[in-house]
Amino acid sequence: MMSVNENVVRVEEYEFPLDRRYFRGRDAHLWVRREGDLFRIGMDQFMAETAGYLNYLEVTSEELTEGEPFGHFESAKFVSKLYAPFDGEVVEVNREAERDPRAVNEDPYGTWLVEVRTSDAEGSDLVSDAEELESWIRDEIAALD
Amino acid sequence: MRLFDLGETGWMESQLVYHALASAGVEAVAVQRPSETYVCLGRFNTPGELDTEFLEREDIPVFRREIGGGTVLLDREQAFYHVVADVRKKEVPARVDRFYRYALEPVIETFRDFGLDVSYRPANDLVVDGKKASGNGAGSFGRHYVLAGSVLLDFDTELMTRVLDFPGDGFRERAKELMDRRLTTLRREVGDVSYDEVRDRLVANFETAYGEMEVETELPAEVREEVDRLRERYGSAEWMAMEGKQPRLHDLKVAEGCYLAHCEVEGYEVLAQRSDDAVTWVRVRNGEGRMRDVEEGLVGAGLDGEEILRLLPGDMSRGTRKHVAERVTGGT
Repeated sequence: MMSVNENVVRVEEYEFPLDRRYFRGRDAHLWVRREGDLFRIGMDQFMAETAGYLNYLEVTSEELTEGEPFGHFESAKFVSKLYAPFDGEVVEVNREAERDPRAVNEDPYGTWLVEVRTSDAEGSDLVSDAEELESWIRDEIAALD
Repeated sequence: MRLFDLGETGWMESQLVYHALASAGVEAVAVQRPSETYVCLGRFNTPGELDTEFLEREDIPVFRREIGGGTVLLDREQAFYHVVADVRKKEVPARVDRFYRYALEPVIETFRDFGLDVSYRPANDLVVDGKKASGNGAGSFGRHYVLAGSVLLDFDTELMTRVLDFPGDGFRERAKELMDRRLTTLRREVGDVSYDEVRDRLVANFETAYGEMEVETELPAEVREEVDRLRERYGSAEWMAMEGKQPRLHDLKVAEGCYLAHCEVEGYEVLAQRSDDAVTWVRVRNGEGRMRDVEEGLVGAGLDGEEILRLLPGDMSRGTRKHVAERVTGGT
């Protein structure tokens, strides 16, 4: 069941605030939100919940290349990669999230991972449309079973 | 899915194989054992947690893998299995806990073939009578999930406690005692078992689970090329020195739900064992010897920093008690 209200898309137990876009390329499940001239990137609630508690998180402070890993995290002894939604230059890494990665599980939309400057934030696989989001997340939920 | 029975491989190759299969995009199961003893760090571990002088003296190499799990000691008394699967395929679960079941079911059957009542303990341990009998780590390489693990034929707990840089002999002795109690091996459970017997069962059970496969004993050329390419990357000083997480030398995870912590502060020495929710064993010493009344109070206490703080000696400064409480609870 999908619902859209208060600018949030809800698909089953997962929520997707519409004040940001979502990177679905390479199963990344990251959100991108504009903050002035910069863009903050974080993990969406679907990934934060299905991955389990994050024990480790490491994010690069170098360049981002679209589709390439810019960090890793470990949960349940499984190491996953974080894939960049677009090319960019890292302005700041959220070291607090690296020190306490469970903050990502507890508040995925309030915990950014990296702040980036880019000349092209369009990327090739960023979703912001509510219906498109719903369809993608439904497919993702189906793939879990 | 292809099946590789690689026999005995060099220590570094025994790790490079699954990295290379994933990197080359080859879905496969590989079974092998290493010809030498070595230490293998998880992706987020650093050599800082190892007794490097000891390792150099004993000529024990160290590898750092790209997948998860902690530091392990590996040798030819372990049967390795690696599963590399394309997560886009319907039969391969995308959710990590289900992927573990998918990859480990043939290993569970292997233990059962030897008459053992094995069970799965999340995240990815296999236990026999409450004791860990197989350790596993996993990770994603693009669209491929990889699981790497081993069946322990034997395990040298003495050597395992030597390769880690523990804070003192008390910690080391307790760690060995706990490993002896919490880990088990096929030989300990069922007597003399050879690597070949385990390998044969693994191969048969992976075929039952994933369908009949031609057993290959050599890696294909494109995977061999990846092995050679990755040897440079994973063998480099840069990869080994890469910043990981700060080693917590004072806090050892012996098995799921069993941790050992140590601290020395202002003349007190505390060695504490905890489960996931309580202190289960503790030694507290000051200059005059063991503080048995404090120990008795702490055993059974929940992992609540404030509660531990209250149970510590009143003549300890609050700062010291806070530090000890944090260590005893593991920072919870």
